[in-house]
Amino acid sequence: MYCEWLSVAQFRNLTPQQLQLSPNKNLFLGQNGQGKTNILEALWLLSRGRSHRTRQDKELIQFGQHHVDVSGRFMPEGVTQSAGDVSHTITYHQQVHPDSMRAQSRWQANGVTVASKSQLVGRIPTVGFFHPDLALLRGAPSHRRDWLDAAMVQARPLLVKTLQRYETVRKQKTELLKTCRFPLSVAQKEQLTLWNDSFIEAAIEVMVARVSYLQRISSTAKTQYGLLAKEKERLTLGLQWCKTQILWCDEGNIKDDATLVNHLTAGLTDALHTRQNEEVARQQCVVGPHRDTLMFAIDDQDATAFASQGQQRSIVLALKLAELHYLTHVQQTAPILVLDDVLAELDAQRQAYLLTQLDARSQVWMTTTHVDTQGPLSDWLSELLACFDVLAGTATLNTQLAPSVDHLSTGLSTSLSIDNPLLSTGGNIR
Amino acid sequence: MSLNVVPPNPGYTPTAAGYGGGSRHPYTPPLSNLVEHFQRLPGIGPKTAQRLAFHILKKPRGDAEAFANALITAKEAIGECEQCYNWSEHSPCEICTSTTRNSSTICVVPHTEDLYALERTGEFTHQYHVLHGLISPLEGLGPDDLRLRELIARCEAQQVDEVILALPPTVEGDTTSLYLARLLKALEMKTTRIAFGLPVGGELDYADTLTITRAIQGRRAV
Repeated sequence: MYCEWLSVAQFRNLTPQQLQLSPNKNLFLGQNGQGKTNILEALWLLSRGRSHRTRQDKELIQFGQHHVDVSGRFMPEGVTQSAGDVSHTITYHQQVHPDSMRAQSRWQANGVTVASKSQLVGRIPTVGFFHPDLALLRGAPSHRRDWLDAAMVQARPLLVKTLQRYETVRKQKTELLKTCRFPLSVAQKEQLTLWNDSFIEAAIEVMVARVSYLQRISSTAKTQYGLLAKEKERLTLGLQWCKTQILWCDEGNIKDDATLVNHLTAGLTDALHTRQNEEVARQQCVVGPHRDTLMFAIDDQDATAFASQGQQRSIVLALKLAELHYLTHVQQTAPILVLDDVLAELDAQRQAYLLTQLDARSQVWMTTTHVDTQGPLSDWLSELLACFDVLAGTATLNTQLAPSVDHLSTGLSTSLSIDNPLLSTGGNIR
Repeated sequence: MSLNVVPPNPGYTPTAAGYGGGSRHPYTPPLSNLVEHFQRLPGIGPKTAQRLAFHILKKPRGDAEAFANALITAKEAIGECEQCYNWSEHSPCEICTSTTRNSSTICVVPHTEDLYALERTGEFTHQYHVLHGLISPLEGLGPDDLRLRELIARCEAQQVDEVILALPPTVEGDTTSLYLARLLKALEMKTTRIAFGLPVGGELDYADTLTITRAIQGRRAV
């Protein structure tokens, strides 16, 4: 899958523009604060239904404006004609009422309004590598959990419903806990037992989905890490659950589904039972998949605590490549790869490794502040690409760095484009 | 959609109904009162409320009286059936007293609307039990706020062979089913739940993925 064009209006600091992209490599070059990441964010929004930076959709609107529009057309790789029947056009419109500041968002796929943005999941497979990902190991457990959920949902879009169901049960149980006081009445105990049973059922579905995703990417991650780390180190992925338990997902430890469900159910039931008083006292769910997280081990040592800076980067890289390979495998299409200024953070060896591992079929969106004349990046860039200079919110095609894309340049509009249906209607999608 | 939003005007309000929401209507007080009462009804916004109110004003007095009487009569005459908690003029209701009905099967529904949905099929001769909600702490509904104990008491008192749980496949529906299933199991009562899957005559192609998944999970031998 690749993005043929991306159009934005009133999006962050970007000027209204439509970018015609190369199906292969796209480089966004510019100083800090010019809007490089905002372009990637717009693409991410169309693919994932949310920004990678914020949960507050209002922040996407340019200062002083009241609406924002983003749209893009996506094509299966290898298809160059703008064939209507195979392309996906996703549009996003958000309007904020100037008085009440109430925001309304609308999504459309191929001109049809999408009832809920969860229906967009998996349509446009993407793998992102953003700056905060480098801190995945040392960062908050929630960051690792969010990454895991987003990655598995891309591969199996139906899991959105599984996660939503768990979220509903958790909210119901939390509400019940808020009404409970010590000493618990018989009716309260009975209700807690009832909701715990519903909770376990929904929680196990989430946990099994996470474990099975980790099991599927585990061997790729291990191989990738092995190639990155010259020493013979072994990377293992695991799910930390019920606060202290870790389920390692390497080959030697794979359980069949029934055994896994029994194991998790027994552990969770036990934890819910022993920590019931704590839950009632704190009036919230203290055990469950919403507290679980992803763990890493190098040679059976906890990597989140002990990995060096270099090891951490290699782990993140191996993880992202495993995500990419698995998604390519299940979706039968090369996902769009988004690399936001991460190359600068990697040494030459890791840069070279990452670039060689990229599937030639994948469309790549990369931002950077500069390109060294020598090094893995400039070698990689010598092939087919479109390079955009990003300055004060406008991306213009840089023909010097990308002389090989003459055939594209006729179609490459640089700023305001009149053939963009969004802009000709004053930014309103009807 | 449009940005041309009229700013709220605290002084003079033109004749358009209800903009800015709230209770301050530009009507003469009795009309304002009527519009507000309509607006409190579910699914009725300011525009529809205004249209209904003006419609009443245009009609003869007799129509308005008939309407008002219908409201009062319905409210006074209709109550919950002492047996199945269906809304009815009589207690026990027509369904519970019907001699052609099979009192050994009870179908449990969350709301009276669902009872009528089942009755419209004209296929069933079982009796009903209306819970008036599902267990949902978010809505402040626990087992004691619903007609659950009454169902159990009824099952104990009456000769019942089977309880059919016609509850929706939501978190709340599932939890209520689980709760009832446990209570009924203690009575060694045969308890079943309605199937979930594709609508009859529907194309697989048009069904959403979750429905298809549930339909496959609930498959049966033919």
